[in-house]
Amino acid sequence: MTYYSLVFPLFFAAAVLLFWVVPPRARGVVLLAAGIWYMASWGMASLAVLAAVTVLTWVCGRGVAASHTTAYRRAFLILGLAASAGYLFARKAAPLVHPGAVLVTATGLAFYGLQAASYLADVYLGRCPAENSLLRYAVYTSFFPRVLSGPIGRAGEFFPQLEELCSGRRRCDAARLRRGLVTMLGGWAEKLVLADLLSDWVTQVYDRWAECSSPVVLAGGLLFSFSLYFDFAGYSHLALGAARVLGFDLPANFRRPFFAQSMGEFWQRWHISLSGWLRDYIYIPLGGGRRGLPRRMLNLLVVFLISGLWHGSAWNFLFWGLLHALLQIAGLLTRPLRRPLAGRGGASMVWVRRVFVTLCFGFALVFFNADSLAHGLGMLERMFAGQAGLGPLDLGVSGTELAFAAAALAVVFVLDCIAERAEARGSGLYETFLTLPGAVRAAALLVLAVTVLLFACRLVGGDAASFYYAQF
Amino acid sequence: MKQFLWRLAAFALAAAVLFAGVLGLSAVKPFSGILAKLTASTGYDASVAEEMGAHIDSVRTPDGADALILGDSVCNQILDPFRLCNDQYRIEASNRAVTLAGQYLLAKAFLDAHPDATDVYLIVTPDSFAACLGSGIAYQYAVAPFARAGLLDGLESETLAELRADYGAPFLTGTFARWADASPLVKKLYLNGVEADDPLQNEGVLSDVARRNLENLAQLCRDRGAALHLLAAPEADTPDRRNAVAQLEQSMREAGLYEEFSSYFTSVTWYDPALFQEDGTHFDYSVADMEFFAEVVTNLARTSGLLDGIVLSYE
Repeated sequence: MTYYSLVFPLFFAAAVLLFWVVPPRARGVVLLAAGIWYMASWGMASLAVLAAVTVLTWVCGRGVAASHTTAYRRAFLILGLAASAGYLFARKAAPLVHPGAVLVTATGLAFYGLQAASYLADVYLGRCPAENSLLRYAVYTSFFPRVLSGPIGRAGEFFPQLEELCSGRRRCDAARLRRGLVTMLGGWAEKLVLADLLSDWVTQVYDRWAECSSPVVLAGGLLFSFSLYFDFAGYSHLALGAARVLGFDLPANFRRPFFAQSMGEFWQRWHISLSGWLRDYIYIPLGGGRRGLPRRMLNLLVVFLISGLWHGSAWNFLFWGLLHALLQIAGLLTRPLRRPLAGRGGASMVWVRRVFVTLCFGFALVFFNADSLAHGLGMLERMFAGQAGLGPLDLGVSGTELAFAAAALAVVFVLDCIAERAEARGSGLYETFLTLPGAVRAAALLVLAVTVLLFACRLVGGDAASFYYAQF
Repeated sequence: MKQFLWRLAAFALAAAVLFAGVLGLSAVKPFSGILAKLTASTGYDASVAEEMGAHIDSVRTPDGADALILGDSVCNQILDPFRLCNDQYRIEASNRAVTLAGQYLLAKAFLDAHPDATDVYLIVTPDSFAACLGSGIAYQYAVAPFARAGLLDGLESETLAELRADYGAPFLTGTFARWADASPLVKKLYLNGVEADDPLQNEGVLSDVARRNLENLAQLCRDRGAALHLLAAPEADTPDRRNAVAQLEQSMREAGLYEEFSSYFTSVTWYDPALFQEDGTHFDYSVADMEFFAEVVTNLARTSGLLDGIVLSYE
């Protein structure tokens, strides 16, 4: 079950209803039951891995807290990290070392594994207390709005909220529910309308790049970054909205990354929870920027290689991570040259920088989506070879769909511009939306809801041929 | 909170009404095409109503024909080439997805329009007796076209009850059938909502709907003074196909239908498997032409002693 499956709204409605109807002290049990149910829909193997990681890291967290010597504390920490992040990265690295290695399915491990590791590190560093209750800790690791695809949570932001909800101090209020549902609607729109439409076309370009004309390969390569963004940001908004409906405030995972003016800023806006995790638990412990430029460059290299490995078990993901490390290092080295230009050129230079960042990310991402390094290099070469080939409408996606996607992109661009300005004023898109007259808000949300319903119809059914007699 | 919940309910209702409006719009050109593309429903724009509607219109047209030939796709393959050169025989073979219920309705419509008709032929492979209702494909061929034509009520009560249970009464109306046919989106949503099992996998060799409607067809012909001839479409001489015929014979015996339709089993004509397509039931067009099909029909006529005067040439 995903947020996009037709059965999810029923599951979610039942979970929300139960959560708010039961006595506050039972809310944790409802969340845990929902988390187990949700993960079980991905198979018992995935549920078993989640259970094992949860129990082992909880025991290790208790061990860290109860140990009186540094050696024991370290031993529990290492054991716990091995059972969470260690197991995750071992799984990721195994196919690189032994191609074809078959591992037990562990849906969501990439997210809850890092979440468990951050909990252990925080307990070890004294940033948060060890959780006494296994049930409450299991709610943290299995929290269904984010167990599948993040955002990667932190114990320090989760447990106090859980405590407030389970003690009845935080109540169900209309404003929170409304905001949560609107956020979810936005997330569904991002995924079902934009990501899926773009993905249908981009997938064809990646599959048939050798037949496509150069402009089509270029557009496909760059549009993949938008397709990926709307896919992942859509999921994150759904997670944030669902959590909010359940009374939890999770930090944003994406903040209009294509408005970033440098690659450094880009990573503060794209998959923020992963960037933050890598910064706090890899980059800073390695010394961060405190040990001189060469060490800083090495640290960046390590962090982005780990990021590449986290994203996928193939060499092209590592190469993608390497490219980003090099972009960061280039940014560091050219900083003295760029410093005098900062703030000059007005709005036009701001857009030049934004486009530059978007292009850098888009070109690097070709290797992320390619089947292999050769595939990625071949696509890059064809982008600029000026070759004729298949046009944009030769790839099985109609002009109507592409036109709708373009119109939707334009709408999102305008909304992002509004959000960027609102944020500069210390506000946000939702707060700006609330300033509109009620009728306008209702009309806008109705149009969005019907659009989402319409595009959800794309998920219904498979091949139409099964309904036509075709044996003769 | 109560106010919020009321507003939420009102919003959901308004969204549902608007969405229903969009579904309504999806049956109107040019929105049907646009919405079909946006909802990935373009594969559903092929119209079975046209294909089946042509058969229905044809059987309902009063003329001098006094014999009707119905059948499945194998029958259609061998006899359709001679459709236009026969005045006495009305050849309206379709396919097995029509089910015996659909064949019954076609025969009834023909006999209604041709009170002096003397013969009704049903030429099918054993596979046609396994076809049953309940699937999306059966809705397309055996239900919607007849609902559009207002013929569905001609079925007996048991089959009608089965249809209502399988498809839902509101979806057996001509209005819905026409709407679904005009809107690929509505058709996609509805057909995928109906169980999409292979109709041949459900009820064994002789489905309930086939047995019932074969009996009904025989009774109908008796009532109208016409003779019903159940004949076997040509078969590939393979163990699989011989087994299919043997299994049907066994099922017919168990259902008490064998005595009445034993001619079906004596009319089977067997051919070299090399003459057939990969599916093992249809002739391969690379070896089968008009002349070949004329020979196959002649062979069937000789074996069954029927099909007198059928014209197998345009000369």
